[in-house]
Amino acid sequence: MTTTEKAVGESLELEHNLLRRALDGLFVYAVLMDPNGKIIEANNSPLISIGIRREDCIGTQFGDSGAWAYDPDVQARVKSAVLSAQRGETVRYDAHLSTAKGVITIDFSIAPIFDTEGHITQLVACGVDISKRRNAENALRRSEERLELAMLGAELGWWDWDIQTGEAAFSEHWANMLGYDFNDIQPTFEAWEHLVHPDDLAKVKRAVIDNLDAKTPFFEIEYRILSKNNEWKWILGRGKVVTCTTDGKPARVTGIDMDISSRKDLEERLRQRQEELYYAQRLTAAGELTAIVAHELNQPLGAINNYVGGSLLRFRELLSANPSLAEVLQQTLRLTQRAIAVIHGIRVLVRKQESKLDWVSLEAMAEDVFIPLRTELSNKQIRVSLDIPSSLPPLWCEKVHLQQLLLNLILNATQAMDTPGCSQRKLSLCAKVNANHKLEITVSDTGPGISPEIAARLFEPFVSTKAEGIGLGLSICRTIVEAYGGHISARSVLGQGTAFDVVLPLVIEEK
Amino acid sequence: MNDDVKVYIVDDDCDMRNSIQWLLESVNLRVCAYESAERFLAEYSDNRPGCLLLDVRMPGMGGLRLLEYLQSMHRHLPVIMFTGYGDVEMAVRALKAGAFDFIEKTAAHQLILERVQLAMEAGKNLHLREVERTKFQQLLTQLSPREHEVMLRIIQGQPNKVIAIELGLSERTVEKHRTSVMGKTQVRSLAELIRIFYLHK
Repeated sequence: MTTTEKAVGESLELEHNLLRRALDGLFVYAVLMDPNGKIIEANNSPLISIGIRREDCIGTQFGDSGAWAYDPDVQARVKSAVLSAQRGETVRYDAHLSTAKGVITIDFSIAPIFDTEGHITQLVACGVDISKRRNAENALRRSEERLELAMLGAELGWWDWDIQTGEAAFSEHWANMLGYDFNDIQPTFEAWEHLVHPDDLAKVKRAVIDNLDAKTPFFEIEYRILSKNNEWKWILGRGKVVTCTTDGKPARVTGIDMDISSRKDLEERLRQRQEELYYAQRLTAAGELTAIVAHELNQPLGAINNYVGGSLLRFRELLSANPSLAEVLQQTLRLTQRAIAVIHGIRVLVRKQESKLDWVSLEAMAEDVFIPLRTELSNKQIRVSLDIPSSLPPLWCEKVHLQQLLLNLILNATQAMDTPGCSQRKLSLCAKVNANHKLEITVSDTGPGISPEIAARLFEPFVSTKAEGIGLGLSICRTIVEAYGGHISARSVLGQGTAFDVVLPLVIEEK
Repeated sequence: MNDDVKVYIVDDDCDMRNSIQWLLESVNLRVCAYESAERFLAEYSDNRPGCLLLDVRMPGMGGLRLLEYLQSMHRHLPVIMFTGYGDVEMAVRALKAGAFDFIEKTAAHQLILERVQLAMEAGKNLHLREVERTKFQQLLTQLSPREHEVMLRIIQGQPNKVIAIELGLSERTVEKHRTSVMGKTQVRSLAELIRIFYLHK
């Protein structure tokens, strides 16, 4: 070997070593084959990671490599790829290999190397381990699937709004929720904006803008949106800015929407029922107040009347001798009658709004009264026990009166049990027809009971056990019960509870 | 006026009670006032003529319940319901339950006096009837069974002859029983016997 040859040889050796190290440094499987598929060279380090020694595979057939010899299918595919390469084609696919570390995914390719005349001189195979990336992709896909499933399950629709472009992506369920097909809605912010109820738009925009301005961590709003069949649906929308531009401006907002129309519907019905009840309560309270004032004033006025009238008779002789005194007494009498007439007038006025008698079912009424109280009762952990036989005859009365009566008694019972010391909280409402063919209604609680001093005056107006109570509730109850010829009484045991018994006569339907 | 005839007042309102007493006493009526139904029942003894002015709304046993109770016991005491304000429903129920009348507490004093006088008259009559009834029941017990038998037939209008045949007695004996019945029941005529009998049967 000449010096030059030696130098060239050394230079080649150097170049080969450099290439070798470079190849070894790459975390890529690189294999060089002769045109027959026999391995000429392979880079070392990746092979070590799958437990193969470079020395062992040089000179062997690539297709017979131990990397896939264990699985005939994988091997067949490699062999067919080699054949394709030998025909001058490039093949690339994801190969799944079992290794000591588990299944890995290799982005595998094999290609021929041509000389200047177009003959295949070598084949080169290349493999990149993409397991991690593929796993991440799989995990993401699965998580997206799970999210989609969860959203479907929870009837949630999602949307994603790109502020820069104004484009808005949304899930199919979001469109379906409103009765639209996925393609019915343009994927833009403006399309959504057009569907929002005009009365709600400002409120919704405000909430979103506050979030864009980072005043809120997220937004949550209830608003109406037009469904395909031209009805307003109530939506609960939650969302937040998820991506910002490099200069900190919001770039993407995403969120979920939920159809809460049925909940809103129920809320609305409850609100109406509650309003009716409170209206009835106010009306009855006004009536009761007038009755109390009338009663309290009528007593002394009547007494003045009697004294003065009695004096006119008793001192007839004295008065005929003193005509001016007689005149004063007559005037006093006249003014008393005038005051009485005024009170009477007010009474008649208040009473005018009442009186709409009807057959009322106690069972239905109890249900009606309890519905708006459900939340309060469960918040206060009060168990309700109802015992109203459906065979009970209806009552001939004014609906709001019965409503008022039950409501007052139930609210009283509820409030009685709303004390920290009250551990067992049970509210019972029982009704039956007694032996005298009268209706007996009992409302009882397991509260602390009523002290005897208060119990004695319980039904008088302005007597209350509650600090904030005005003491009209039971007085109203008594007025109502007595108006129907009934009777109300209370039984109370300190530390055990109180029961209110109402007895109402039953009216037989007149033919 | 009979000293025994009184107006009873039951009202829990002291001013109302006293003023009514003052008014009634101004026309020389005798008045007994009570502040509760229970108190009245404890002190009122039967057979006293008069009338009762009864407040509807009172603590404890209310006016309506006292009225119901009195109706089952002393039907000869007319009750005027005294209502605080013109509660028509309450008044109607009171009348159905047997009240004699009802007056609003704020009624003019002349009206109150007028109504009380009417009730007093009724009370006196009811009392007389009650006295008569008690007396008649008492007298009836003095009749022998045979006399009682004869009396029932006389009242039904049977002639002596028919009574004699049906009871297997002589006409003369029947005539004797008849005289005895008239004497023992202290009536002056057959017409009076029939009246008293049907009134107090």
